[in-house]
Amino acid sequence: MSATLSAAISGLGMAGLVRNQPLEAGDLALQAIDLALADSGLQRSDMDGLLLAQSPVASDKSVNLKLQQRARLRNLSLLQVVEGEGTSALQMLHTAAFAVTCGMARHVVCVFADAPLRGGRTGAQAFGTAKSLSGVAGLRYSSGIFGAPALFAMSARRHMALYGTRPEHFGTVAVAARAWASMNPRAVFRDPLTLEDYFAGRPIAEPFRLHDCAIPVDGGIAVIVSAVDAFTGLKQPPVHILGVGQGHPATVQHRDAEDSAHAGVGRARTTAFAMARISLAEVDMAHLYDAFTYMSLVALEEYGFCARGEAGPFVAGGNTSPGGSLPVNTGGGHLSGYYLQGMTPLSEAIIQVRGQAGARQCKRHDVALVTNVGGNFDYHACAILGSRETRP
Amino acid sequence: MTDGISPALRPFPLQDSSSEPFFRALEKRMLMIQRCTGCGSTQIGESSCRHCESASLDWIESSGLATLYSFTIVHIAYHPSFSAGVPYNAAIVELAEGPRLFSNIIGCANEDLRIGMELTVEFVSNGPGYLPDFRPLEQAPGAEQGAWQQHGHFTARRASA
Repeated sequence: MSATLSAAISGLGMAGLVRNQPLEAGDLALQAIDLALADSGLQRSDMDGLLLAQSPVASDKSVNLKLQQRARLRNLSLLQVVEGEGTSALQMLHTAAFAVTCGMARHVVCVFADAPLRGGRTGAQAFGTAKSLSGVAGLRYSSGIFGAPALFAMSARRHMALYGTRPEHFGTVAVAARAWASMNPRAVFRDPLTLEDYFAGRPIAEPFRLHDCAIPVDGGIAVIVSAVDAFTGLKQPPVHILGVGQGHPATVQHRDAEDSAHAGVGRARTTAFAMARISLAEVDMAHLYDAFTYMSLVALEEYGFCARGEAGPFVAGGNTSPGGSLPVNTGGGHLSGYYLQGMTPLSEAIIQVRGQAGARQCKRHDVALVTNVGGNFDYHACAILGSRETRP
Repeated sequence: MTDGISPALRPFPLQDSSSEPFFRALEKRMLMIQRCTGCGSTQIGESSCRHCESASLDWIESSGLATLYSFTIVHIAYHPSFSAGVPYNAAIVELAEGPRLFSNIIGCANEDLRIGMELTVEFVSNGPGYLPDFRPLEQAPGAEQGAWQQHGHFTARRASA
């Protein structure tokens, strides 16, 4: 038996989302909170919860508890820094949903911000750092595996060997993302991208080329989660949080990344869909954590939109592109839109469910699946968002 | 030293109590793995058996034989020890006994790497210690191959061995 959430998203604020700007992450977080308040019609004094998250490799540590004072959010009933690597955004959403459902808080603002490119740094400089890793797992750095691309590239190579997935399948994920991004004014890269362009991209960690990898940006995104009975007088239609789930397989070093992906998704999916009381067929669109093209393929397969090994042809067949049967990452995702970790798919899902996506608005936008992935498939979180409340 | 050869050392992991015997054995050019005395499962650097949770683990020497589990060709040098070798391969190898390790494949051109290819360990000097790299099995250690010498950092490490 599962209880029903009574929580909905009332505000969305997006600050920065540009490559190279002067502000620290904390400043971007403050801007995002202000924008979310303005978006919702709520007052600062209405906020009684604040959840914070930063990148696990944040260059500055300015998204911290002190942000409460800087944001002038007083007398909070809930305050927490959430750390779930790439799943932090949805983990915040989950905690906020529980808090407003149970009456611990009424309006909880969840904020993530990052400024990896500040000061002119490149993505490789920002994310290719060697954390001091003890034990046998530390051999990854001895072997020259610094950033995430090489780790996921090896998982992608396994997928190719096991299922016959081809480089052009990865390429079509990037091409589809760009087609969506061309209709999103916030997307960093909006110029048309062809498969030929994809193959002309420089290799990063083979089989990944340039367009297989996320576009780092500096930015902050804040999402306000409110109790469903607290929407009176607010400016936006509620985006209901119908179901949430997490899966953290804790497979240890030298794991089969495929196994980890399977285990994490399975647990999260089962929990979330049972809570939402909907079936996969009722999902209108998917907003997937696509830091690498390959990750979208894994998610499509593990959530059951297509059989294992068939996501490449599924995407190549246009199913996830504009006009397709299952719109995926309609803002361009991490690949062509903006890489703000777990907030990227969440923010686009909110815009779509509200019906505010302009030229890229999906015709059917009542139910959205949102996924977050952390580590090398170590952590998984998902949420099912809807325009209407869960059926009793 | 010729141009393009990096003298920088590859990063070496910090040891913890569960992995200390593994790294101590590496100093003696030995590849050690843990075997559970209860169920016989193998692993490296754990405090208890991943399979049956027994804390009774023996350290045994691996055969050093492995297959290539997966690999990537990295085109960005994130660390000076790899800058001369770009593009270089990075790999996960699966030991014949079961456990997997992050490693590099030497003695094989990057374009000839194949998942499932048979490998054998080769201990490569890295400053005061050694790292367990792997090379294709059919190729005897010490056999000079052009592809190997194309990779500056590998040549540098061999030269200092």
